[in-house]
Amino acid sequence: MTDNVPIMPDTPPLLEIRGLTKRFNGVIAVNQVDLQIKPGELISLIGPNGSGKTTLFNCVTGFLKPEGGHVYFKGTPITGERPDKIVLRGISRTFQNVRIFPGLTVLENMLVSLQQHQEENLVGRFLHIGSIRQLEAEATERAMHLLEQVRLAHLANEEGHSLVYGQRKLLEFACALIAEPELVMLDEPAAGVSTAMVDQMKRFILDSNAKGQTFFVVEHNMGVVMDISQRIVVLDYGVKIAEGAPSAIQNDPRVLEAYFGR
Amino acid sequence: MNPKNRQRWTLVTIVVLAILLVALPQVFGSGYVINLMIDTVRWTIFALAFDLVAGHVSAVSLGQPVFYGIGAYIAALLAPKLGLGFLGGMLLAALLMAILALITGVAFFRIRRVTFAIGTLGAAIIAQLVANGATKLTGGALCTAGIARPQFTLPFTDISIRIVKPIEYYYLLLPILAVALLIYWALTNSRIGRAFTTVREDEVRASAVGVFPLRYKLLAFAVGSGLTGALGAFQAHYITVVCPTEMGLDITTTLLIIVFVGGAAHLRGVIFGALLFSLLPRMLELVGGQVITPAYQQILYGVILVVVMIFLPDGLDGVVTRVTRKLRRRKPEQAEVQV
Repeated sequence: MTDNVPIMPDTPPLLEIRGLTKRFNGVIAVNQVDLQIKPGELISLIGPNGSGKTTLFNCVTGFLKPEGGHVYFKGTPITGERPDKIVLRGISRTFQNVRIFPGLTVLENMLVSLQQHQEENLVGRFLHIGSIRQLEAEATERAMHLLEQVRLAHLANEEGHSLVYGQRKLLEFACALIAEPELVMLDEPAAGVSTAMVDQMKRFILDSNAKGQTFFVVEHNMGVVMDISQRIVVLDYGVKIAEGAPSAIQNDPRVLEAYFGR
Repeated sequence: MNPKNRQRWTLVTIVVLAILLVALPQVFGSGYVINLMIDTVRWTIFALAFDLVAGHVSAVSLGQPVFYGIGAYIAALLAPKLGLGFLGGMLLAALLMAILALITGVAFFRIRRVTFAIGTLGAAIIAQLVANGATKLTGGALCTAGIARPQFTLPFTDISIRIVKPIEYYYLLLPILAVALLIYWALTNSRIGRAFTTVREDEVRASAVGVFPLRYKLLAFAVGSGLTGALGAFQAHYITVVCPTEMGLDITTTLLIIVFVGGAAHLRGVIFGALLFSLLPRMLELVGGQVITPAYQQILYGVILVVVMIFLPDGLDGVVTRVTRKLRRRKPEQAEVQV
């Protein structure tokens, strides 16, 4: 669909996964997975329940430590790094069971997603009150701009717990974008929301991708996956069984077998 | 209420409270009132320090009296050996207790939530046993006595002030309260405070926005414990005796009640709780005479804590917030009626 971002075949990958393996008490959740994501791409990761998609996400973002293999971001190994460090490198993510801060307002949720990127130095943050004020003003402006795009601006001063599920999803999505990360990883952005909201979410993702944002998406809703993805990777029992354009994946016998059985 | 109005009201409240704090002992000069005020201010500082840890990063440390007690022993035993006076001893206690919190924090924060509480409780019990047993150092149950009264030489003069009377101690304590409030306010009303909230609400999500939870927990723990150590040093110079009971677990009980009944992670709630629980025992004395002995007070505290936890999980501060929110929502309708 969005072929307006030219992807050079020889561009170095933004994210490279080599031989990634994760075990849970003998069960191999992710098995020797290789994967490359080029800047500007929109890639989806699909597979039946329990095929290791979220586990793979968690290994890339540092929430789980893989037993084998490597993850490189812009050529730098980030395997097993702390999640907060990986975020600050430029990989943001959302969660399968939407996670926002219920006690912070919508705006504060956005600001806190940016502030660690703005200044990492704790002591500096305490001393330079003047520049902090400026950073806060910039952050607020950027946050409100994004909130307007996802149509949550009117709720900016409401606390997170008062949002309904779909609004939380949108907020989490906006939070993932605010720091302008090079890679955004969405774990089931269309799950559990209304059809109207699914269409909205699709458009937000495509609009953002059209501006050059790289996405790595786990999604169950095949309609969404086929509509938005440039490339699809299929996992089954932790093993990568197929990879290719949506049209090719749709007719791949291995994929059909994984989903529907032989 | 618009932000400008709110700012003005906050300022007015601060000024009025400051004037009250300074002027009250001048109006009611009795020893009873002054002792009561010292008690109230002391508990307020203690609870503010406790709330940084237990409220803001939700790490309910049951071992805060350890920092208080060791802070007192530092002022009583170590500071004089180093030739430090009241102020030097207090700063030394604050510094050493912050360092102790950093070191022990790295270990304690490896365990989560409930186990953290039990772990710090264990440390508190051990510390008290050690203070009781190390009779050569601390005097054990016979206490360390004869701690010097605070003494200051006014700059550029030979005039020396010695703090002896309770009212003098009270005015010595007020600047410490101001510093405690300032630290608390600066930490919690900033980006750091926002990061505290993320750690309290959802550590996984906090990591996903770039917050390293351990760093912020250690910060809260070190600052809270440093402040507690400084308060312990003040206490040593005030009572001039330090006993192992300064590390007693009854202090932890009172802190829990002040913070959680008042309203954890809320400045107003903590002050409210401290006021209530400094005044309540005295009121009980007045009303009940000798009927309500300290043992029964503890039971009463326990009952209050349980009742509040069940029915008012946000504490009294939560009730105030809910009521004012309701009133504010009702206001526009009233205005329409008046027009």
